[in-house]
Amino acid sequence: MNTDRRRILGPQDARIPDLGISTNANNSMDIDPAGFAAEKRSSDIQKMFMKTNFISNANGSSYIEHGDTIVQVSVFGPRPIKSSFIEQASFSVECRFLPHLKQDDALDIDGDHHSNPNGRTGLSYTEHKISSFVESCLVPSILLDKYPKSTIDLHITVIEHNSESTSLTNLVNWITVASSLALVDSGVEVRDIVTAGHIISDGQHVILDPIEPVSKRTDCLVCFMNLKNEIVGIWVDGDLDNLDTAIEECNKMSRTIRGNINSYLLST
Amino acid sequence: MESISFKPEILERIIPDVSLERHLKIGIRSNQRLFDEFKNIQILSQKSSHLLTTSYIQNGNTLVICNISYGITELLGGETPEQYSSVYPTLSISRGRSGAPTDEEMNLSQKLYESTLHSRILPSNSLIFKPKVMIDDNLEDLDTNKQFKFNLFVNLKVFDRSGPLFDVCHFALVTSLKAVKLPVIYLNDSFVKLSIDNLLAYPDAELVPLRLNMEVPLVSSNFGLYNLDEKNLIICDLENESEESNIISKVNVVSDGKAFNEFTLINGSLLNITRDEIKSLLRTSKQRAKAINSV
Repeated sequence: MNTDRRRILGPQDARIPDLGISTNANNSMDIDPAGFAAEKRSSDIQKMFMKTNFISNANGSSYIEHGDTIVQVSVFGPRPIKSSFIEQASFSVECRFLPHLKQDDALDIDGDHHSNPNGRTGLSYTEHKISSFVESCLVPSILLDKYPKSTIDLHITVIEHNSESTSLTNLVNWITVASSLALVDSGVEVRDIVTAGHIISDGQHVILDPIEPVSKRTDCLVCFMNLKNEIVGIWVDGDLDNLDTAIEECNKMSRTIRGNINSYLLST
Repeated sequence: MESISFKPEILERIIPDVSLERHLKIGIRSNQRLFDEFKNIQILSQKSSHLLTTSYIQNGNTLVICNISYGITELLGGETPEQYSSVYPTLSISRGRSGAPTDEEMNLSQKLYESTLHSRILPSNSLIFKPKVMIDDNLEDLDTNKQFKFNLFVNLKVFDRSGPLFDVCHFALVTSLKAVKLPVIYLNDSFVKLSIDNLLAYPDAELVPLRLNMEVPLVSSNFGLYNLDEKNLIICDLENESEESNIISKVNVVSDGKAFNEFTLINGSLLNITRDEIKSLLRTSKQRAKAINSV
């Protein structure tokens, strides 16, 4: 029985059909077996679009478009809390995908991705994973003790994400960058801007900011505070033979992104 | 004692009623719009695929992302559906909190559901279909009495709320409905039983636009009526806390530019509203709908 009386969810037995297999060869996604898309070199970072301060009822906001990925982040706070005194601000991150987006675990409340996605209330496993990773990356950068008895809330909305063409780690990379940008926009005092780099490696080749599906390869995402070259978060999927090279390449990418953020912030 | 002065935006939050009256007395609104001026509303982008239709709508600073997906149900034997159907909307407003939907979100969703149903824009027979069957890579008609129905699930995400949201959400919904294209649903020949669990959306056939009982999108317009010096002042497209909380006589009109589909009047402050005032509101809403649909 559908027990949610607060939302209009429609018939409970409605089923979202799967898409049949296309018999038209042109419709299938072409994947370069070497892992290099024709127009992108392995050391290139894809173009991105960023914008800040476009939501007036949040203290800070940012918007990033990168390939098939669109992420929006709002910062609410520092806001006073009603409970007893705490010496430093509490910081929370909540990441949500728009309901129709396919996530890696792709299971809704009933454990079935064929039912109405609007009925999902809590965070999914993927959303929890992303929220806690971003939170642990950003906490070292924020001067929380400047804001006693306060709370700073970060709300991330994944507006578009194609899980077939973009890996979860690449998405997290841009979520981290967008979150950091929103924090700067909010005026919350930070030690440094957190930026991230993402690579995939097959043992021989390393590709920065990959745009292909990443099966049978190793994914590595490293988040940095570039000012003192500090690592604030690492996410590795698969076996990584050479962590040093991976970190070095991620650092290159994060520095390039940082350069772009710096010039964007100076021009706004 | 020293007097304290506040900036207009601070005063608006402390004593919204006084702030509103002061503005209206000198003939301006706190948002700098004219009394008969509406915020600009536009479709930023719209796309439709086999499983989803997405629209981005901007109204002033407010951005609404509207996604329409669908689910299939089987019409049981002897079941005759109503002549007109509605959509199943859920709405969430980004305001830095999470959890159960707020009163506003629930009320708006219900209002959108009822507005779609009672404006009779979505005939049930445009959602009812008989599936095809795939035999040797060809789609053929299936000889069956079973009928199925598309149910449209709408998700609206609102960023940067600055006033009443029904107008923009309604516009997002109807323009997205106009863009909805439904796929051909088929039964693969590997399945023996015809049930909703075995139906698939055919990826190679052209999508079929949803048939609507609406030539051009309906446009909803809201008005506030405020008594100032014994005269009723008509204020179009309410915005900001001071207008929203203090103007409690409101009118909402839904029109396509030719006729009227819906008229709601809430006379919260018990004003003496004249026939000419109502005529003027109707005329304005018609002109606005015409102007938006001509773009």
